[in-house]
Amino acid sequence: MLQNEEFIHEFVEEAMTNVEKAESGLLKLDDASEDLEQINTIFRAIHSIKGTAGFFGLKKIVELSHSMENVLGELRNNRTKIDRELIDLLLASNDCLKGMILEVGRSEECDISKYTIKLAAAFERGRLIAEKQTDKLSDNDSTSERIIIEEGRRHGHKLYRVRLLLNEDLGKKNITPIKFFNKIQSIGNIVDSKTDLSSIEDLDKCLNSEITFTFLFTTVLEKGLLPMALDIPESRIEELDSNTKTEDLLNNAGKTQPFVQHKSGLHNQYKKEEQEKEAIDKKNQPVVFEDSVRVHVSLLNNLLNLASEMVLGRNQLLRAMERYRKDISGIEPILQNIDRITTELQEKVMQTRMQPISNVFNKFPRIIRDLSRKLGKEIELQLEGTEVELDKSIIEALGDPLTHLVRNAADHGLELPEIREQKGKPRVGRIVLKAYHEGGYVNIDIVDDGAGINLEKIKKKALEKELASKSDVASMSDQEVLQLLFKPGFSTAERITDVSGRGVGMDVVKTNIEKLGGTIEIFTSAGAGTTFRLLLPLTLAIIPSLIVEVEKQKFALPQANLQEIVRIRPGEAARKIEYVHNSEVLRLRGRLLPIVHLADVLGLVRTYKDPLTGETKEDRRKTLYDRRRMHFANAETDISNDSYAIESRRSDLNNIIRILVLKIGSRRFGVAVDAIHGSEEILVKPLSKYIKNSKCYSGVTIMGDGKTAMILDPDGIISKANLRFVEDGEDKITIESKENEERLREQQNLLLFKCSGPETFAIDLSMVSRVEEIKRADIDKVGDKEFIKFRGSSLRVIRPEDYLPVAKHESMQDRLYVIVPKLVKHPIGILIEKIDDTVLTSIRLNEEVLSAKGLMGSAIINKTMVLLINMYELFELADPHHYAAALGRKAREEKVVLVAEDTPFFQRMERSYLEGAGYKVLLAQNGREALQFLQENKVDVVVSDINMPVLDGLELVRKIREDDRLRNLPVIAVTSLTGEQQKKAGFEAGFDFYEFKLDRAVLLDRIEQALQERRRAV
Amino acid sequence: MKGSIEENVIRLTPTSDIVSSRVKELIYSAKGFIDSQVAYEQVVLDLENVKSIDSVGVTFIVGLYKSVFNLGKKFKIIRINNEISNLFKIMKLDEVMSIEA
Repeated sequence: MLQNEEFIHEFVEEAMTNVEKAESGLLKLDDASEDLEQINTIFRAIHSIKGTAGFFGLKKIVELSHSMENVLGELRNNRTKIDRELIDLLLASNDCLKGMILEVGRSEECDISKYTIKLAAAFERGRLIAEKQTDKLSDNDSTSERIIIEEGRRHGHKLYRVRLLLNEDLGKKNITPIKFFNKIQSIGNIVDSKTDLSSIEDLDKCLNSEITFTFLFTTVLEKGLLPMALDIPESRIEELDSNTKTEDLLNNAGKTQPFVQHKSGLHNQYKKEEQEKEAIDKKNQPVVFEDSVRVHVSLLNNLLNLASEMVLGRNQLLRAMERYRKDISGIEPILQNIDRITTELQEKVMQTRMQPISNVFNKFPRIIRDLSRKLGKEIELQLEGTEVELDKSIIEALGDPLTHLVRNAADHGLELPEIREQKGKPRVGRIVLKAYHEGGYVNIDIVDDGAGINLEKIKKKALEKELASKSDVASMSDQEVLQLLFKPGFSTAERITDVSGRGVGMDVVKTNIEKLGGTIEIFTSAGAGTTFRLLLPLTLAIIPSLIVEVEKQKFALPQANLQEIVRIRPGEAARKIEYVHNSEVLRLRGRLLPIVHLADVLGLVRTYKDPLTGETKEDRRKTLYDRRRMHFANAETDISNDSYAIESRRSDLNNIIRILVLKIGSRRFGVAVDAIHGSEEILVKPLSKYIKNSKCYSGVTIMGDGKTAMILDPDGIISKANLRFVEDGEDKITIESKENEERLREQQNLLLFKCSGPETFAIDLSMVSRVEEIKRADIDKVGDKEFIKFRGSSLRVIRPEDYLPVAKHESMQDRLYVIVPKLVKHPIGILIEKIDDTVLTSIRLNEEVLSAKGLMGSAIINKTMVLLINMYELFELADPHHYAAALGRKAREEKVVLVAEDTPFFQRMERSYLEGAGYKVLLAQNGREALQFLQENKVDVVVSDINMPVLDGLELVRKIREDDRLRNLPVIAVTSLTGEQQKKAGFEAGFDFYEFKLDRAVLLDRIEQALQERRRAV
Repeated sequence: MKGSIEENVIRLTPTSDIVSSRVKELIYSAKGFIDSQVAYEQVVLDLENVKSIDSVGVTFIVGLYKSVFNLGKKFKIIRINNEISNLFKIMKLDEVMSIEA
């Protein structure tokens, strides 16, 4: 009686959800056992399948689910014991149910008898066992009661059964139950009790209901005295023979019964419970307006496409309107609004497609359960980060590769229990599936604590299968050997099982993951286990990217891979670019990264503009370093020629090397490009089939200016350029020292804001006195200077974009803000348009990408490039009269201050304060370096941080005090350790002053004071 | 009685002792919460302010438990004082509902 297709479709969908719910519930029972809530969930799931299937007349489904429900009912009432066999049976029945539901049209042909017979047997058997056990239990239970009765009898106590009506006997007489029980416990002992709550149905009727409390009571009191002592009618007190069997004492009901006392026959009782189940299930679903609706995926896909197109349209609109922003009044806020709403719309639509990774993870408990049986291994599965969300399409495509990896881990990774024991490991092997966010990607780790991968075995196999030559294998790094696993046709399993090791798989896994825009990495350690790490993008549709240019062509680079941008000035190349095995590498904070030129990888001919003729010629010099050196050689020979010198300076700008540092998994490398254009949200379109196989591109996009750009695939670049990477061990050292560095890096409290352009600026909050909101009309113009009224006098305000090399727009905004600085003699307000945020963060200051007077440098905060303003330099630019003069006056003194400070930000700040005040500044990165400086230079004052690597500030000052020559040198601590204890420790170590970071006026005052004191002392 | 709904849990906190003179009001406000259209999974009865309880009060708690159970939700008593906790143990109510000190 299969009728309407649509209804059937809905039934299948709903029933599948229930089958899965039941399966995961059964698996949980397997671990935790006897969890009533879990049994209820399974019961409800099966019950609901039965109900709907009944409606459609699907008899076989009804019959099987009914049999399952019977057994579950027994479990629920604790009349059947849960054991592995029973769970197996229920799981198998559930699988059969699943099969019938999926093939609902043929479900009537299915033979379910082997399940129903077993289920019926389990139903009966379970009950018999349960009955026996109940007997045993009650015997045990009654032992202690028996002892009390025996004890009482020896002391001449009598045994009574008392029936107490709570409201009638206590409520009406204003006796609280607590008082009553205190009283009876003072005259005897309660041996056992039972509370009958069955008359109370719910809140509505509870006031008219009565609770009956029956208890067994031993006391010396005679029956005649009890009614008086307990204030209970005599009829409710019954004297018992103390030899009566304990179970019988409470009228066959030793336990509190929440609902019913069952005296009727078993059959009737089941029937009654069945009705109750129905009733409960119905009550469980009150008329609630659902806060979710089901929509078809195709609708979401359409929405996503539209939203993506909208992002593109927005980008084009903004680009096209750029030059009219000033001319059309009122257009600015409209554009901003469209910009913001489009972004939000896109985010929301993306969210609708996001699904928790538990959707994939949840099938693994079952798989592991089956595998552990099949392989004879004991396996514990641990799931972490199940709430992490990924795009639906990624979730769907993840199932197969993950299953393969988990099967591999169980089959090849984990050892047999006996072998594990021999190795001193726990018998039970562990597989962990862990999902977590990292750098815009979701990582999934499949970790096993098995034997690890035998690299020699892989090499041998690769040679056997002719997947690599002998010389190749000999020169391979461990990582490269592991990558052999992903070659088509590779399988190390000595015996091919039906679990894994069929010779296909790992290459397919890799291809599938790469199709999703992800990568896969392997980490293994002999004897300790293996980790497969999948790195997956959150979504495939719209990605933030950096637009870069090489040989006049623009490319989009996914920002998820971008770590930082390094700008190398001409002249620095020799110091920063080195050679290893004939390849160029970039020295970046003590680590060497391989670099490639994007043009070379993409097969573009590199060109340069001849400085003499202006012609564009092919650049034959292949290395970045060569280019610079040759250029300078030329410049030197022609140094007398003025016009060439100017030209040469101009071309210097073009000769700056821009290197993008990219990271994929643990691999980092640099890509040199000609120009960087800024970031854009791009819509990823697939490559056309003709260029689908080109390694370096992952797609194509249309940019805001309407032109197309290829999207670069960093992984492809690595393989195309044949880049080699250092081994893990070295990496670990770098990671450790990096962690140390992070720990030691101090935090700055920054105010993030925007001026009229798109750039984000930051200023240290310790330098800000307050931020005032003003209206455009409040600004008065005198000449080309602007002023506002502030606390009764006028305050000059400046716009940073007038003095810094940043974008400048005519602002239409009516509401503006003024940052009023702290600790300056001639205050100038900084006029800004929008306050973004305040953040407490430790920043990695990059002084190279953007350097200009008035800027300290740039840093990446919350994935945005932020320009840090050097306030004093900015003021100097705006008001050279006051600020530069101050500098001149002091410069004569020529005192030398040694600053020991490891945080570049504070180094820069302190130096700028001190140099601004006319001191000569020496910089040391840590205490040891400072000591070295002190040996070699004449220093007047030392300003030192306390937390520093190698040798900290406390040690430094101790060493200074121990040194006869340096003993009297003034040393000032400037630190973020603000505790009184720490301050005390500072003074004890030998600091003359202890100041908190970082107050310009105080720092200068202290130095002045220290110098004077020293003068007096000398 | 104060009530709050947070993360699928309705928390009911009587502000004074649960005694017959106050039970009608308690029933009224408890019903308001558990019959509301809000999605929830558990009702927690917080007895922090309850020092004493009489027989009608016990009836109310049992009634509340039954109502919540009938809706298929979980029920729990928390921050119960020693005296009341002992009473519930004697009455074996701790075998029926979950009770935490």
